[in-house]
Amino acid sequence: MPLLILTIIQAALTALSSIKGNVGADAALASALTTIIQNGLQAFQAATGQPLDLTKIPLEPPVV
Amino acid sequence: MVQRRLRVRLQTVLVLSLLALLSNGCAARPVHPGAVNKFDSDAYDALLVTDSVIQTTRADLVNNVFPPSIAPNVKDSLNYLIRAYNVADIAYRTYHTAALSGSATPVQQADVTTALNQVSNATSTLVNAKAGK
Repeated sequence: MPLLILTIIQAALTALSSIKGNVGADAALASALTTIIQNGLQAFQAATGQPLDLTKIPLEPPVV
Repeated sequence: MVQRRLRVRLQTVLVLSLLALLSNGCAARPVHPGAVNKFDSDAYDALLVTDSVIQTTRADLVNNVFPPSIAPNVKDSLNYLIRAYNVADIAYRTYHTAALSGSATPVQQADVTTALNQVSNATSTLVNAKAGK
């Protein structure tokens, strides 16, 4: 259900992103943020009930 | 004026959806098989979601999703989050290994809690950078 809500919000933000000016830019940023939340939720849901797997939380290299 | 109202509404929708997700996630969070206890399982979940945030943001930076005006701040904030995440990851692995053998100490558990609090702070910094604040 949360994923569905985020998908709907994502669709709305994608539509708003096409508006020229500040609204479009803000919507594009909000859309990117929503995608990050979606991916985090998906990772959480995919792992729910699954055995603990340390390979899924690797050390991350810095961004250069 | 209209744009400002719409911007506030967009931010409100995002904050509300995030709160709804967090409350939903907390309500139904079973312990992972293989976890020693709920703390072990919850810490693993926190690292799992943070790693997803790091990977998605890294991809967004590569794909130039962020405007040039905020991209450098996003990059710095992401590296700050990565450092905090790696510290928490190492602390968690140390605790988890010790807990499996029944030798985890309160200090090791406190180290994980402290490191995860830093991850939380770094995540807030990253969100603010993305919002251009």
